[in-house]
Amino acid sequence: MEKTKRLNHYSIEDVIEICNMTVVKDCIYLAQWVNTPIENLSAAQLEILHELPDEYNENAIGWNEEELKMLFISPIFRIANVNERGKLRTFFERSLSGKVNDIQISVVVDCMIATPTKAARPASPYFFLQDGPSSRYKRTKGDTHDAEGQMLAAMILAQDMNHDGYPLYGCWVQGKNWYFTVLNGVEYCVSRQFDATREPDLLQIIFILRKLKALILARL
Amino acid sequence: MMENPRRQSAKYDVDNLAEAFGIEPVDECQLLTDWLSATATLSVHECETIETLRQKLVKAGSNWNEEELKIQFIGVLLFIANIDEDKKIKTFFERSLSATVQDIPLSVIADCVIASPKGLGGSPRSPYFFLQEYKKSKGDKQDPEGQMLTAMIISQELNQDKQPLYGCWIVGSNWHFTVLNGVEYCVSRQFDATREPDLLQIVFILRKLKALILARIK
Repeated sequence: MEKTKRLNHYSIEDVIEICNMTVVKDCIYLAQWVNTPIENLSAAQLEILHELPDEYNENAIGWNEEELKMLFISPIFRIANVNERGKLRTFFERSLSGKVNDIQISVVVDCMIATPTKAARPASPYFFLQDGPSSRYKRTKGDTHDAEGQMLAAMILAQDMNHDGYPLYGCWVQGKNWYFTVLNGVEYCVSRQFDATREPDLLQIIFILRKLKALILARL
Repeated sequence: MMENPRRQSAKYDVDNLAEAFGIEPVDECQLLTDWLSATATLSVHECETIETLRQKLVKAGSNWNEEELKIQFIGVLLFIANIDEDKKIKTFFERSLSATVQDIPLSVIADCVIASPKGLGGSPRSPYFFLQEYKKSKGDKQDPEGQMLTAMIISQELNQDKQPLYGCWIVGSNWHFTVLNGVEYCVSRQFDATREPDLLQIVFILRKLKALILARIK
């Protein structure tokens, strides 16, 4: 008798294998997204941005996941300003569950950008971010807290829920390192590492997140 | 074996905590009055950010879950309040605290703790301020005031310095500030963060924490 497919641990290897995804090196959707040009920011935004690398370098050694999210990821999202009233909203700690090809998937998403329902609940999700801190609280890939595995599982589920043929966008964060991803059908591709304590990379992260808004609005 | 009912009832319920540890509610409290009367000067950027934040709370706040309230609103206010001081004061989130106080074991996960850091700075040594938040109403198992008071009682035991502890609990847009000084416990009026004067005062109150904490650790 064939064993039922299950996603128990959400390691990236399990998710790719069990859900039959293909890892692709070159991906036009990812290139168009992450190579977006850097534009101007306001003085107030630049002020916050300049403080972030120091904040990380001085304090991150002791941060847990919540502190990484509150003290580092959250200000980046605030500057990126992805929300669009009535059309796009950022949600945190939201549960998603369902079956895709008979595989039960159930994840709590650290951050998701989606169209809102009238009651302001997530309707169609287009972007997922999962975080995991580095340093002493470090979770390595392959264990039950694999941020990349959880992110990809959420993307697979959202692809099935949205059912619109459009690619899904994702990001997983490990400490200061951000990795952007695209899932298009069964093709999954991952960007280079962006080190958010380096100002050029940090600026690029802001504008990659901003580009999301344009990409998603264009499909609505 | 049956659990000691005194132990059981003390958990997170503000009335039972008061009874178990002899906490006395006090209406007039100089420490709280001094803290709440804080004033500060804000930059144009800070004022703009606070007003944007207030509008966001008015428009979207009722739909936020606890995590979203914390990330989209409370975290930003704490950032503007700028309480941290290198090697002296740090803001921690989701930290476990536990101690046995008068033979009663207490433990709580604090939503936010402001404390002096120990060692490499990765964990709180002496906590001075606690914040607990909740989206629904008081009175159930998730009573944020009870959790906050539990954390304050644990900290009195950990700090052993007879200094007052500061706290705040939030339900939706309503903030309440508290002081525990020995067994005397006092609570502020409600500050409604959707109202501009109240929100500004919340920022001033949070900012004043830094001076209050620095004054005692010098």
